[in-house]
Amino acid sequence: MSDEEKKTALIIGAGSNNLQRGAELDTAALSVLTTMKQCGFHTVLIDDNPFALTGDVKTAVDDNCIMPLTTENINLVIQQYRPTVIVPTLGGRRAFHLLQSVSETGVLTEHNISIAGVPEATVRQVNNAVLMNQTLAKLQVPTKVIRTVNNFQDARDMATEVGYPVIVRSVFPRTVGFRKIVQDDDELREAVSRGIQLSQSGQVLVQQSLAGLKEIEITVIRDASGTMMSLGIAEDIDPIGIHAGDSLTVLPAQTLLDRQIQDMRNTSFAITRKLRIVGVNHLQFAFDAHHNRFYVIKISPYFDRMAAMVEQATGYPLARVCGYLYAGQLLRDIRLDHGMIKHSAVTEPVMDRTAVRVPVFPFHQLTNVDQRLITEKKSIGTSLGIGRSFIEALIKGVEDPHLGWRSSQADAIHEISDEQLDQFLIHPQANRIFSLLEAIRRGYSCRELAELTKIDTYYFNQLGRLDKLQKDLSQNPGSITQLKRAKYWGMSDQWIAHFWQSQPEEVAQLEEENDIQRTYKEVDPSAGQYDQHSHSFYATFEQKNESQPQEGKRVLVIGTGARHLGNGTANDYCLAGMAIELKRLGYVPVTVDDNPNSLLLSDQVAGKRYVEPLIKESILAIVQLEDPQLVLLPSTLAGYEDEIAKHLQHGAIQVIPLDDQVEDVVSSEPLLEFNALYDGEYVYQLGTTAELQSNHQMSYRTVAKRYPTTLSADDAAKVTALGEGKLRELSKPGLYQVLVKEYPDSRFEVTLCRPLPVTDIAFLSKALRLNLPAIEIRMDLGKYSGKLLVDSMRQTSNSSQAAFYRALFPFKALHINEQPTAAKVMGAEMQFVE
Amino acid sequence: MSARYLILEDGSVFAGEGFGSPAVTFGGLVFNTSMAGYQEIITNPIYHNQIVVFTQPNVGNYPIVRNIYESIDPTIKGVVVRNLSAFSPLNARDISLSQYMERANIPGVTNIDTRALVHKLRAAGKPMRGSIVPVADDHAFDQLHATVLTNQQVAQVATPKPYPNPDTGKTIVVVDFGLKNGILRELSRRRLNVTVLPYTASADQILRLDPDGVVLSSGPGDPHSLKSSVLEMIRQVQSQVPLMAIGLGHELFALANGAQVDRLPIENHSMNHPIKEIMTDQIDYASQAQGYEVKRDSVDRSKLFVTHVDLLNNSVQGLHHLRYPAFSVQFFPDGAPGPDETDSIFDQFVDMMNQRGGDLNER
Repeated sequence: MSDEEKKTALIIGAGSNNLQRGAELDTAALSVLTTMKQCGFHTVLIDDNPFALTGDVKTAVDDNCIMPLTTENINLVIQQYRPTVIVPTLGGRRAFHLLQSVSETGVLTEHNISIAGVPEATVRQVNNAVLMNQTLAKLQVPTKVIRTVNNFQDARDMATEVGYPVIVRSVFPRTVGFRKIVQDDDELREAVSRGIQLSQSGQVLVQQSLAGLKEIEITVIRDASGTMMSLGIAEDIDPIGIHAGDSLTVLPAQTLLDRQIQDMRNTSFAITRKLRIVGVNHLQFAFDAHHNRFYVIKISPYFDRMAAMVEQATGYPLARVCGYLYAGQLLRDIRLDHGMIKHSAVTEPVMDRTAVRVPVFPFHQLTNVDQRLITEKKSIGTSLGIGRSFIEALIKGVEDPHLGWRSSQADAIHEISDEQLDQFLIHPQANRIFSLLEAIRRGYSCRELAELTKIDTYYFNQLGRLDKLQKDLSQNPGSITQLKRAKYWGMSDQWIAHFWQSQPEEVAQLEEENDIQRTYKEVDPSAGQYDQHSHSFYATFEQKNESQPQEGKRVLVIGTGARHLGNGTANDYCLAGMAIELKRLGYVPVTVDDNPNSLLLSDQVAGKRYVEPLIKESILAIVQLEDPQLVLLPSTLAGYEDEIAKHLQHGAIQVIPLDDQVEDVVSSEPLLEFNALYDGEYVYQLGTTAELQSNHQMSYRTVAKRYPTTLSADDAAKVTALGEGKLRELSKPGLYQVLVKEYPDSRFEVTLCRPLPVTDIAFLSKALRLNLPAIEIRMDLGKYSGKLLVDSMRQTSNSSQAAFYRALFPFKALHINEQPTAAKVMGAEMQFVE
Repeated sequence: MSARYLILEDGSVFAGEGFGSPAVTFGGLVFNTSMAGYQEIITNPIYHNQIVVFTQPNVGNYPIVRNIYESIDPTIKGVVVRNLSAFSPLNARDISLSQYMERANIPGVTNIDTRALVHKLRAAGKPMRGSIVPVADDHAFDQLHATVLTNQQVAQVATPKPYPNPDTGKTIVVVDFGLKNGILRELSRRRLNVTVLPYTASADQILRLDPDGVVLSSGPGDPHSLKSSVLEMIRQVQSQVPLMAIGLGHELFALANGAQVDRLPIENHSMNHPIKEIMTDQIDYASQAQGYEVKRDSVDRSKLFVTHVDLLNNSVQGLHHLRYPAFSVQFFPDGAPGPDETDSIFDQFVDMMNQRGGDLNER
């Protein structure tokens, strides 16, 4: 291919993880870019997220530009790489804003750069609610009334017209978005003035509230020839008024009639066609079941959490397909192969399973947050349960390591008074499902609950069945019939043991004796109509099992579940990086996770995947079935190590240090981090980083740092000597970090020696341009030599750049004031400076 | 709920729990992969003689809806699901799917590993019969093997008498082979003045009503089981007035014009297949419920041309007559349940009638 013909794609990355998203965009980008590269594109990524993996994967990205996501930087990258196409759909809504301002500089026209996924006019409409509403009005699509105002009087006129409550949002917010439901003039006055303050343009949007209606989310895909499919119609159990990301979400929708679905599908298609979208479009509707009327409330023609859920729940490889579409192919021409039938890319996925996505909140770490659920998102992670019934999917979804039916959050609800429970039902709190089930337990009727909560009675009927199941269990301890039923509907041994006042091991024993066994089902997008394979599985308790041990040298990589504060998605970065390296070493990675956004559930990372809760019985069952040669176990689940070992016939277990409760070091003296690899004999330096002084009480914390330090040669030698000395005391090889305090008189003192925190592994991998997860796993397997490391260091150390790292926290987004500590990290950003 | 079994011709037994009618039932087993619209599917007369397996696991989620039936008296033989949803009425009028099926004498069985069942049906590679029974013993299997299902399916579901569905637009005749309400709904939406005639109607009887167009409805079973007089009727009518045929009507239209129609080894009941319109190269999705297919290489090119194909199985999904304003589709352009995007087929039919003229004085 000549230079002229060479197509280059510039992808605007997602930037640091925030409250809105975890790794879903990174995961999507990995598939999209790998596919585009396979289609002959030279791929260039601009991103500043140290925890993102895609940029470090050579088969996905040719040039990884780590720099802040600004218009100027994007222009610089455009000048340097001269892309033929720019992809804004993997960077969330911010990428659309950036693209618009890049486009306004004229550079796209000047260099004849096209936009993948959306025409420029659509970018502008997505960025401007008023423009979008004009388009929707032309299509005669029902929408809520919305107006941009810059003073209270106009806002009040609008509120009078549509009636309270109304929602106030700031236009082009300076930092965090501002959004509030207001009930009267006084609240409106306050919200308008606050919103105007926070707006770059001094404006707020005032919109009609659709609170209390059913929220429906439709994911559509379209190609350049106009072929369109609906990939999934999801239903949020909670009504509008609670952020969709904080609601339980069910796929497929359970309470809609076909004709209601078809009406919303037609509207989704009309909008997607009008906006000339190529690729994914996520549309949100408010559905008024009483009047059989719907409103379009949001259009997101880019990857987001719903795209991730749809991909995991249906088995339709959405991101890969979009890669082909961006490369210019049509849905009908895409060959997915890898076990999929011909034309599967142009076949609407159907489900013979139910998926429930469960929000996971950070409130055990952030105790000062108001836990009421409102229109602003408060959850930090998500967990996906897939089962053969709504109840099973729900039960499995809740069994995340950070949630669970036997967690303190779940148990606390039994203690509250009836009055409190009423309050919880009317003013929903985080982990609402526990109060809903408690209300059923206390005898509230479905009808009463539907009125209090605006949740469809279908869900209360199902919870009623679950409650009945539990009461039957309680009354029949040891009953095999009841045990079979409980497992059939998805209950864990631990939960059953609770109702029997026995131990989970005893329950497991009974199952073993009575041949009550997990059967795995494949997540197949044709619901069994065709013999095809997504290589993704979930468990249920039925007749036929479809999962056979993966062929080859299996390594089971166990994930860490829903994102939470601390390591954030750096866990994923590390485990996925190791899985990819193991693949290179001839292993076949088999992964298990419940986090639909996780890289571990990407088909680019693992040839076989289990979407299963990370509870002991689920993991042991997979270990038993796959009998892997190697198990990578995150240290957060190290408690399972002995049990796993018992179930392994000859495989080994490698515990990966991913402690998310990293010790918080605060120092009034400058802090240095001596990072190194210790192979048991020699210490190989990975450079020394310096903590940057935090604004908080002028202290040094491990949440902002610079690589390398600016120490004098003498001082550097002292730190190295201290660090090396400390590491030589260790017996276990690994990646380590020695924290050293620097006193004014050039005196240094070791304060702590620990495994290199996973957030630093991610940062240093990029700063040093070394694949540290690969190095770590090779060392664990005894397949690494110091010489190799030194050689690769030599290749990469010619850079004169310094790298800066800054961790980010959810405090502002959650309206609290807290000290930044390592245990509360949500995401991070990094940049190089000459 | 009591224990019930689904037994298959090949000797397999699936244990579950009964709902709906407690009667013993026999039928051909088919699976439907639609994710919504169970009430419409259960009431579609096309399922005469058949037991439908829903792959979507949760069925019976909402009360029976009074205006989405596809027939007055459903003739489906049975319903197999993974979960019959727990249900409680919100209003006194609400009835559950199970109550409805009990009244309509339709047996159901739930808690079945429907995915394993679908795999079995797919692997069999030929139509398979089954029975829903209270005891899965030798006697039950003997009865299953001994049962002969009628081939007079159309006669059992189609109207024996003509009836009108008056409106103010063009006058059309619908020949009922097992008409589903969706077709009438689409015709009403276009204000067409409809007379429904029994499938035994002769061309004379039809043309005597001086219709602007004729619709051959969908229906159950094997097109070959109908008398050759039906094919003769089609040949005469197509040469006189615009004609549109759906489902079984399409198969009969093909037979009347010399094409061959074969039994499918595995029936296709879905709404997710890409269906390509050859002329425009456009891909749409539609409800399909098909046990027979028109052999593509048997289509006589001097009479018919293929207008639509299913990209997944290459089956003929639409035909058009070369000389007459007559066409047919295998899929259901009326949805109910299913996508609406092919309902323009009805507009195409109206256009055809308009082009042909007709009585301009009509109001």
